[in-house]
Amino acid sequence: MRKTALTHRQLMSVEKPARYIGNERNSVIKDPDKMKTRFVMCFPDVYEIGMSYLGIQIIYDLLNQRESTYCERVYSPWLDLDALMRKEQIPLFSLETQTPVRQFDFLGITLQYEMCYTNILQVLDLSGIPLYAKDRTEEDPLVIGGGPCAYNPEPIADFFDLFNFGEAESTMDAIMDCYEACKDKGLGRMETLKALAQVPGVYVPAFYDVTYNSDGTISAFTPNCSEAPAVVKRQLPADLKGSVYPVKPVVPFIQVTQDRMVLEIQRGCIRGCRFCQAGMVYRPLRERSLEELKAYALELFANTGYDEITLSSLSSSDYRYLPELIDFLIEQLGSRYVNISLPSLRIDAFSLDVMHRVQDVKKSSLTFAPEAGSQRMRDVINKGLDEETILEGAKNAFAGGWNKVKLYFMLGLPTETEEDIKGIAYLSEKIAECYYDLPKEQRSGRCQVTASSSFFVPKPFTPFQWAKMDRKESFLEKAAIVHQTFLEQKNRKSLKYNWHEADLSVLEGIFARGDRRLSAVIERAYRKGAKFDAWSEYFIPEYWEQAFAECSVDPDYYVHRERSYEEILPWDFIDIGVSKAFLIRENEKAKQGKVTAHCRKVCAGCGAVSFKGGVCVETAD
Amino acid sequence: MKLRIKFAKEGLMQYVGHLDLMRCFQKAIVRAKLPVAYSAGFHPHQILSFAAPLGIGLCSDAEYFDLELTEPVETDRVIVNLNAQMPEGLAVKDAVYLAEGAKNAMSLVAACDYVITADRSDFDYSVFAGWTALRTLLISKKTKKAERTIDILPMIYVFQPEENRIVTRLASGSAANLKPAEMMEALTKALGFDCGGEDFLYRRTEIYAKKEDGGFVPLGEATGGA
Ligand code: SF4
Repeated sequence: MRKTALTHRQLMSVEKPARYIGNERNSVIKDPDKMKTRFVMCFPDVYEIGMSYLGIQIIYDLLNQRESTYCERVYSPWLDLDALMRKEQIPLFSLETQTPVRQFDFLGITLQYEMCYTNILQVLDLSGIPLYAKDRTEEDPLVIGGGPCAYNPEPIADFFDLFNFGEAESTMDAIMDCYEACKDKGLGRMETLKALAQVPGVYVPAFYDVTYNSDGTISAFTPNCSEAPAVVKRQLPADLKGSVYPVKPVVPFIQVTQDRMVLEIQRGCIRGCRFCQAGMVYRPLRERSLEELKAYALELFANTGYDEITLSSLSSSDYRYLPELIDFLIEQLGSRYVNISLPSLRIDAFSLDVMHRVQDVKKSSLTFAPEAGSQRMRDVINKGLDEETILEGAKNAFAGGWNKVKLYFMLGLPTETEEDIKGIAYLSEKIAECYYDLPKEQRSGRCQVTASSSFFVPKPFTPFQWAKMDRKESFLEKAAIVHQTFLEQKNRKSLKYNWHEADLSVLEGIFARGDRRLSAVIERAYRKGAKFDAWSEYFIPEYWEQAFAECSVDPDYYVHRERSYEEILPWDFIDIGVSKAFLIRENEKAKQGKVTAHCRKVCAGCGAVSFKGGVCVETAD
Repeated sequence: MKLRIKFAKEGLMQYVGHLDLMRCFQKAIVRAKLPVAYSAGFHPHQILSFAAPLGIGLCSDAEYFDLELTEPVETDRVIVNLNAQMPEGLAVKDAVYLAEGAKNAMSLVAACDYVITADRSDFDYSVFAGWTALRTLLISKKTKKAERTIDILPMIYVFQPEENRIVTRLASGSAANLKPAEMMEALTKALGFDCGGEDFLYRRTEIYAKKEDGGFVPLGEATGGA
């Protein structure tokens, strides 16, 4: 039997011990002694969440294809094991070879949401790695971060040795090659980081100094050594065709959140919703080829035996070969008892037809994401969806046999008025009316329209990156108004309205646009016991209130003020390909309620054309 | 046609619970391309049923499940193909076709053999010799409605302390079911030892059906028709 880091007794004392044993199908076993570089990839949340994320499978596959490199995995130990490890001083270990994390060359941490920041400290702490990069020695791994939250790395910059801006396919090899060359030369930590700082897309926070004005804004952000570039450019494959795909993903034993095959059909988005960070930082849209996707689907099935497959993309309806792909999946996999799940589809005649073929209409509900209640507001955020289309979709859906609809909205959007938020209830009511307008024999009982609203959080590299975020009180007042308006609707019995807690959104807002002064606050909150903040049942707002106060950091500064276009933003040194001029243009158009057409209609000149790929150079074929 | 598959579970796999183990086999069966039969309905599932769930932390030499196929496959091929898909710690040992009308594995389960060892090496098993003097062995079992006290002594068919282990046969199945850790917990308390069920390691070595004459037969041999 392969060794476990935990004893039998320890494994038996925690919930779901299979989280910590590795041994899953397609996990990679190599001889660590024959490797030049040992990398451990971490998703700083519990196993079931981390294992559901395609990005880690891509990196795992990419690194393990290198003969000289061995990539293993680690996730946040759940609270029960966390307590046991502290009590019995067990160091955090990798799943595959059960090796202490501190013994690796690299600890890679993916940053998918801001609320995982205390879990990063948990992972470092349990590994016995100093929390601050400046305190680490030759005995510690290089801690490298990446993923969407890396596009403002500043609140956690002090905890990382380096960040990678860009997609793994185009950066990991260069980083590993550079590191291995340094190792061959016997270079120390500092020299190695200086070499890595010159790899395109790499940011080493220690090589930059930040100074502040008296009002707290940044006065300068400058490299302090010649190896560090003043601007770090995001790296990405201009074309996904022919790039590796993880067709042998690790198959977990325990049920995870996304327990299915994932087929990433495209990356990026043509839509340009003004609140959406992913829509900007993954530009331009790049499609995978139909032929490759067909082959991947069959390989995934043969290698995993899963009974479900899902498509992954920001907006699946924009994939030009979607009908052919779905036909293929139904024919080849549906016939072998594989369920096909189709998220992020726009509701139209085509998608309803497809959903009819792949799901049980009576049991399923349809999801619309109008994001805002009024047409004016939808134009402000450039949602590209008009009321007529929404109602048309709802009518068709009801006629097709569905009677459950879910609607997603945001509250606290820029320029929002009371009429706009009441629009959430009005639109929901109109959708319910579509149902009751149907002849009686076409209905089956009452319909159920469930509207949920989350609170808008302005994100870096979006046209709203300068915007003021609402206060918690204002969010809750708005939610109360919407709720009241729902109660006034004729079909209120068919309508349901849910809203999220505001505390988490405000904290997310602080980190999203925060700067280096926040690392002390994060550390302080962690020391008080904050972890798993993304889990609302474990999120304790008091820890954070105290941490801000004790560090004399004013949280309002980060969220409740409108920034000027002249202000140096903490993430300005990153060139993601979309220009600041474009973001300003879009923000101004938003104020006037003017929409911008999507990339396939007309190029809005966002700047991503510099990558010379995807939709920017696409020809209809 | 139905197959009864026998497999062993040990090492790392002892930490994978029953439901997860089922899912692991379902996927392995698909990868092994066995012609498995599926149920009807909107969410078809493989027609597959396990004999007796094994708790987390237990190893076993003899676990069983029944699997329905749509067309016959040589049993040797079933074993080889499935083993090619098994993770370390799972091994398919045998596959036998069931006779027409044979009862399913789960309904047959009547008793299980376990080998019990202490998790420290200097343990003296002879201290258990005193168990023969017990006239009852009471434990309280929680059901959905209430807590009740039951005597588990009649569920212990065999209890044999040996030099470096204990060999037992315990009642199992829907009528009466005794878990070995439960028994050891009660026994150590009744005999006044300062240890409990969690201080021992458990290995299931066989699952039995009851014969007409009251004797026991391993599930792998109880494949005849009614
Ligand atoms: S450059 Fe034009 S086509 Fe390319 S992503 Fe930007 S807006 Fe779209």
